[in-house]
Amino acid sequence: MMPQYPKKTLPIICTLAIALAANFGTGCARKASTAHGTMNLRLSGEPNLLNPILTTDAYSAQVVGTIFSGMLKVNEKLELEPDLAESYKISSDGKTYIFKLKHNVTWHDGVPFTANDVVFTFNTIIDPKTNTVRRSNYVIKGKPIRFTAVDSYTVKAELPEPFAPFLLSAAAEIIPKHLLDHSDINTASFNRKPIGTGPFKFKSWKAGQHIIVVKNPSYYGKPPQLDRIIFKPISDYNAGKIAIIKGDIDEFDVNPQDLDEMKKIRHLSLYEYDQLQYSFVGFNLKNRHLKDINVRQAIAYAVDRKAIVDAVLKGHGTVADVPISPVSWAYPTGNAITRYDYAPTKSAALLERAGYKKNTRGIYEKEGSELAFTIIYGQGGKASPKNAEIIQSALGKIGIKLTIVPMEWQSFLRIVNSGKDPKTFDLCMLSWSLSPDPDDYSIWHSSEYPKGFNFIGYSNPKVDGLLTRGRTVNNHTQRAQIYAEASALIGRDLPYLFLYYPRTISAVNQRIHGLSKPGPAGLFVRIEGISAD
Amino acid sequence: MGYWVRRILYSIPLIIGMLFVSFVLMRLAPGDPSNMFLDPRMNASDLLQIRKNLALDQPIPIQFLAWSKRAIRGDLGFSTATGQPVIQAISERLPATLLLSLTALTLTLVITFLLGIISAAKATQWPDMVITLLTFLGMSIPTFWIGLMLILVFSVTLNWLPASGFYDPTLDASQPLAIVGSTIQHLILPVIAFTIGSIAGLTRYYRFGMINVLQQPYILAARARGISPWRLLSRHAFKNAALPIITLLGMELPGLVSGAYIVEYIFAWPGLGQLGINAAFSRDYPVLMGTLFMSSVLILVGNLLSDMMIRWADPRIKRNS
Repeated sequence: MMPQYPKKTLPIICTLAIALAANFGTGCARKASTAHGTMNLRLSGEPNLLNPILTTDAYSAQVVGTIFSGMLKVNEKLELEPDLAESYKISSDGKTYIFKLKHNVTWHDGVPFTANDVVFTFNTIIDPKTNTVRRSNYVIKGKPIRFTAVDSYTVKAELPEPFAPFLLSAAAEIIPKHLLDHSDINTASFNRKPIGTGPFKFKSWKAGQHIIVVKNPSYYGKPPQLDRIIFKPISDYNAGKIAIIKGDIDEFDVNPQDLDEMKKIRHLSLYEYDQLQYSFVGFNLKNRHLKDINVRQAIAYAVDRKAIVDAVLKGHGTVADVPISPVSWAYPTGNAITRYDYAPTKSAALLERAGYKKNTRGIYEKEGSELAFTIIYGQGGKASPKNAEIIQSALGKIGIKLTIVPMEWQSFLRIVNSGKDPKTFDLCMLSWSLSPDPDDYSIWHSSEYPKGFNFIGYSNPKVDGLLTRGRTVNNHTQRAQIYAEASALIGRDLPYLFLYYPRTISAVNQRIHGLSKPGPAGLFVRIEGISAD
Repeated sequence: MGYWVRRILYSIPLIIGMLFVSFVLMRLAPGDPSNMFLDPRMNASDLLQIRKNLALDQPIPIQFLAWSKRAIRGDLGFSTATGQPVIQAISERLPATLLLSLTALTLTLVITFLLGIISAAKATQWPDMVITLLTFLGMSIPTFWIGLMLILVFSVTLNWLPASGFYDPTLDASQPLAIVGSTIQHLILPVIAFTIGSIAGLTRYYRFGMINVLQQPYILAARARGISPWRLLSRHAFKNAALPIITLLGMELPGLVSGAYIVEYIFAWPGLGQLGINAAFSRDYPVLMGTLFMSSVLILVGNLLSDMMIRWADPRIKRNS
């Protein structure tokens, strides 16, 4: 016989655990969410740092935007309007910019804001010792832009040659000279407890938990309505979904698959809007088959992109045909765009015209070389695997073999950004997030291959000319025409199979008021105007 | 005493070797920290400049030497992603990790011993079968699923406990008691998720150890002397059956500190697991080396501790050495 054990232990533990949980339950009121004047925002990752000239991730930028301000800012229509600057003037040769600054602005520590801060910010970005991705925006053909403080409230920027995209770069957020002069900007402790001029002041950052910013009572613009914003890094999508349902966060970007579920939640309002973004499959134009436009067109006609939008995005997106978003001010007019709508019968005709014949295995080939490709993409996105499968099946039907190779991000980038010619991929799937300025020189200009972001090796002298001209002309209407023409040409050449423009679906707690008009700039363009019940 | 000093001295070259191999392996993985700085508008020359600033253009042995020199002085460098001192990044997150893992460990041990004893004492009878079934379930259900189910039941449906975070961020330093209370509330679900996974495996070990011990002649002798069953278990069998668990725990110590990434991810728990994983994805070498350095020291400490405990639990080992 085995020894006896105290029989009641297990039930006691169970009862205790449940009682404990129940007790805590009553004390677990949802204070954070219901607090009047507090907005809770999810960050889908932990910010790296809160210095606007160094940030590389979207989460940091989200917080930084509430603490700092720039001379100009982007409004709901993606246009620039004065912010720290009162006004600006561009010389007739397009090489000198004069910014007049507001007089009544102070840093969050009370020190007055002046032109010296602006000059310091841009010179720090230009300094090669600074680890920033922004330096290239202020260096034109190897020559840096010269910034000088004419007086305490006037900044002069002298460009080596006219460069229209500069105005957007001039909108960069400004950092305080008096706190950062003579310190190593890359490792300064300022980067984790920033001081800015924006509507909210930094209060605390608990790594992995939350970042709190509070109202800046001496803000130079309209006084902020919220007392504070609590940013919570919640990486997991499902955890974020639970948080918006429970009221722990006030805004959440919903996957189209969850839209119906979210519609049933009474305290949520849903907004849908376009973004400055498109997804695409890039063709390696150095590939012996893919450099033939007939092959690319055959692929484009074979893929039902509308069906992809319906299946992958549940219809919450638009088929893309050109490398520019329909919400951009430089989007070409409808009839200028070449559309490769789904027409698989055209594919066979195109391939045969180009000299391809189906072999015994049902795959097209020419001179003994099959139309068999691999498509690579970086893992992580929900859409890419589905897109790839649909494209694989569509191409299979017309006699083109496609192998899908998902890769870890860094491995993917190593292939795409190798800087070598030729690059070792056939097709690659990716999305571009675009800037409000349509200058996509680095993606399409032939000089950006093999080093640069024209990794597919696209080259069209006419497009090169337009991209160069778009940078030197300052007239808004003329620039719009130039970029519309360039986009239409690229769309016709089909260097990418443009897939779609995804739309954002945002769920917002109804206790939040004062959202800006839903659009590519988001719902919080005027964060100072937001209030919470 | 001499034995322990020797043990510690032997470990030093081991740690250096381990760190060097990790350093090299890390750099064999595709990409490097400068990939974080990719931006479509950036010139290739600026990327080269950043690589130079981060000393990534140096040969690997030189980089390792530079790192070691600083590490000996107690300087683990700065994170390439955040510019934050690595020591600060680790120490910021250590308390949350320790709180979660030590609570879970304590709970795991108590429950393991209880279940193991019950299971062994009632071997092949229904309590044992139920426990066996539950432990197999516990072993086979993935932690992330347990975590999500706990959130779904206790947080979303019943609204008893918070789903994520460390404590309510609206509380500030003037309310220390409220912060402690809020932290305990936030701790419960992750601890349960963490514990369920580890109980299952350990219980199987402990049950086996206990059954073995209970069949030893000295137990039979003790029973013949009329010692009560409870005393028999607690005084005579407990320590001996715990030997395999002690060895296992020694090996688990570094794991406890490096953090339970999955649990931390699901419950947005601000621990070291998240730091390590983020560092791995962004190829943040200084942070990775910092966490590795800590883990290797802890492996050493864990082994030493488990050796000490085994000597305490099993005097035979002391006599033999």
